[in-house]
Amino acid sequence: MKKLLILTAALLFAAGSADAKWWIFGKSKAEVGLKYLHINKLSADETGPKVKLFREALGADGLVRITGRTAGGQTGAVRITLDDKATWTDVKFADNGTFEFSFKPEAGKTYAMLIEVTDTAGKTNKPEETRKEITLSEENIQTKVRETLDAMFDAYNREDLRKFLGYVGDNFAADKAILERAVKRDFDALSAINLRYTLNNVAAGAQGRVFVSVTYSRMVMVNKSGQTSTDSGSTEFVFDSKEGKLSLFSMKQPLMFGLSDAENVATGEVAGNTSALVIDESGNLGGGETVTIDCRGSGTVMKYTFATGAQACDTGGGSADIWFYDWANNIGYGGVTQHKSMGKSLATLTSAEVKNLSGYAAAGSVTGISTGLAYCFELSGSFYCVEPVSIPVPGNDLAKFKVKQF
Amino acid sequence: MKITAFAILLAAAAVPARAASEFHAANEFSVVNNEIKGAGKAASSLTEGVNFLEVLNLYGSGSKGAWTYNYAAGGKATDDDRSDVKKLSLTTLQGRATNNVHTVAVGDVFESFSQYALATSLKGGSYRFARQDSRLPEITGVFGWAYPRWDSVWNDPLTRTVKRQALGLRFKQAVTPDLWAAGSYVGTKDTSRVSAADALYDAKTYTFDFGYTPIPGLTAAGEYSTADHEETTGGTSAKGNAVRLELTGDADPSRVSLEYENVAPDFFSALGSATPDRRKVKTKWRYKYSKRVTLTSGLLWYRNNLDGDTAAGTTYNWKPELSVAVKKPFASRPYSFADLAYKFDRKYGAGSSGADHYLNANYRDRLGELDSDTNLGYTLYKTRTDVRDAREVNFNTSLNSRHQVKSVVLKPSVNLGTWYSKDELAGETDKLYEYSLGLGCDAPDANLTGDLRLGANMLRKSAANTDDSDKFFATFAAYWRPKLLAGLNDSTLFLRAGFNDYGFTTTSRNFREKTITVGLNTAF
Repeated sequence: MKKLLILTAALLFAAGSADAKWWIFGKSKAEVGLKYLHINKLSADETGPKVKLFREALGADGLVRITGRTAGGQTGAVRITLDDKATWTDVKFADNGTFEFSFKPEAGKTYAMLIEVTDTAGKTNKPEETRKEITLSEENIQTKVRETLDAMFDAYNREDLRKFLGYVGDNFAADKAILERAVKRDFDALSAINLRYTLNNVAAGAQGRVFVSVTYSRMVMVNKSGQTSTDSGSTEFVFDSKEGKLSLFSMKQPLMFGLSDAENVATGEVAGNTSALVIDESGNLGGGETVTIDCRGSGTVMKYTFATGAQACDTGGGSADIWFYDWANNIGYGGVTQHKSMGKSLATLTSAEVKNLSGYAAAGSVTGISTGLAYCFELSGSFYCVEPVSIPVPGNDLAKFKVKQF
Repeated sequence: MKITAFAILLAAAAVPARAASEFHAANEFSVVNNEIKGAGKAASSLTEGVNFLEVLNLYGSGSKGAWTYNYAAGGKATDDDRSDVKKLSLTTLQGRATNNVHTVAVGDVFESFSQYALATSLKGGSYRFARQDSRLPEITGVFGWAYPRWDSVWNDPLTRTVKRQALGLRFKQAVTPDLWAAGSYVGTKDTSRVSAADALYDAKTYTFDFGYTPIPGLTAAGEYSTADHEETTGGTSAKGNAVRLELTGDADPSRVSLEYENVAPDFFSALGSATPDRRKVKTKWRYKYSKRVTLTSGLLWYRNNLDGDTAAGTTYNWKPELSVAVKKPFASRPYSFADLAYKFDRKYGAGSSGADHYLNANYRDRLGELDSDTNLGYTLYKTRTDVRDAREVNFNTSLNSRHQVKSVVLKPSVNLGTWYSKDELAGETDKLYEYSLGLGCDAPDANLTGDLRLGANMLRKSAANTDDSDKFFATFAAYWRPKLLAGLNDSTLFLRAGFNDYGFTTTSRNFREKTITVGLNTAF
């Protein structure tokens, strides 16, 4: 880790003193120009030729702030035009070439901005290279959020991957490449997708980011089983606002998109949801239902019956399909039940693996259980698997686990 | 108590101005009638009967002395549980005021510190000090509760969640004109468990982040965060850290990016965005070979089980990709565009071993009056552990056109698609066929736009005891801005109708949905 940081620091230091653009592969040296340019803290390199801003993303003063730094020789003058070179305004600059200019835009009007830099030798940059058309949107941010979510949900419902990805930012927190493959797998696994939502909360904030909370309702058909499935709940998104367009920055569980790799796509979880659709590695609905048995103050053994979902608290095993002890890292089982430890998570199990009777052991105890691993049970031809989420300990008699029937 | 405090703060921040103030309102009221018939109607995700949805948003801004301010408030009302479990709810409440040095915000505050530190909205207040022409640091303080909605603030039984109280502080300093650095602290404390199993965290996150532009076109950004948390339900506590570094070089003809991230298994950021237990390296190079040809290549590698404690073992992922996009691949066709992409997924370890190949070709062109967009994809899912071995082919083509008849613009479209999947493990085949026809209409003189679309999806399965299915659908939407409402800026009457007919081999699963929505959208 230290080596990496030292290497990075050395690389940045070297880059700072270099005057050749090594990554341009042979492109010419910089002349008079701009080292950087920001429009309301948004790098001009990251925008296209048109920059659309929202009222909510401006400061409370409603100003657009242009900041930058000149590059090349000693700066002699900096001028800016907002009307496509019809009129120019001198901009104050510091000795080191940094400058700032502010203006209050009118909604709906387009400002054709160019910046001209002149050095003390009279040499100028190419202002056309700095041209940006800046517009203050007449839309409010809620309208834009709805427009964006409508388009994303429509693209997902129609299984149009290219259009969907057009609304995902390159800086998507969990990685755009992971989301792209997960959504592609969603489209292979599902059809007749019908997602709907209403907005609960929208908040625009610093760095042009927009927080969105929604209530959703969804129906999908699972191609592998031919069955339909529905769920509803609330979830959250964060969007980046660039060029008047919102692009997805992060999503929380329950996920709307990328159900095939939920663990790697979601960054966080919205409290208060009981279940959410996820797709397992085989392309089927997976993940299982989460069960919590709370025996705090009422027992040291947590019992569960698969077929009925019945729970009980006791001080000893028996009279149920499986039970967790608070004094041992074990799952007890009895009667005609057989068990097999799978060595992998519930989401990665296949029906064939679970129903392969080789390796099942007669009644007793599953010892040394771990979270994240699946343990399967066979009861007279019915197969159930559980994956512990939290294992009870003395003083905290609470068993939480996922359960799925195969 | 909290409501009163918010109301006072909001009122203080949004005192009506004597001059230079503006006020806007947007309102949408709609009524929907859903009719669901058939033996399988329980599978529908619509709410049967007549329901309404009302959404109101208010915005204003103005100035008073050296201070300028803006405010926003919004609410929603509905009697459809699927639109919202609450019949009446507050959706937005926010006020901001600034004198260009001091900025105060109350209500919905979204102070995005950095990815690991704070990337979620709070219900509370914030203060920022930023003097533009001085060397003083920018200071931001924020306090509030991380509730997903306002109803949760007053503990409404239907939307109650764990109470997560947050306090954050951030100092940001421009070290040189090209380098800034920031340090932040975010502390959270959870209380008011809703269910016995709810985890309650007491967490602290200390984060350092920076941005650097050493030479034109080259940017570096990074973040280091260390987190310390206690979880009271399970009686656990842990510490972890996360680091990420991004280098981006962007100037024609190339854009190159390098990313490194390492998030410890025990890193817990209550209000940030992070995937714990992941070490990731990513490179991407986009190269404009010529005015017509752009090459993009990328490699993503990541693994988990960074502390070696995961019983299942370590999972490794390799995801390389390569694509080429060509404008005018046929010189005689000025609007032609082709894109060819190959992606590979290798995942192994912890009981899994898979190698998936994704190949996709896209071609767009204008053929006379028709715009065409055709996509052909081939996917090979292959696992050594017999989880998913399948070959899948998907094909879609769409034709769109635009015709003007006097002042009316008609936009007909056709979409055809098919998907074929051969499951090598089960020896079964699934086929999906779909088509749709559409007709869009713009009549600017009448302030009318409309869209009609109908089509069908047919899933055919070879496996025994599974259902084939057919879905026929039709949708219609019309938006009209009548002159009667010209006094109100941007007001629209709308009608949306939909029909879905689901048919299955097991006929007891069949059902039909009819939905009609009428509404009025007004803004001034």
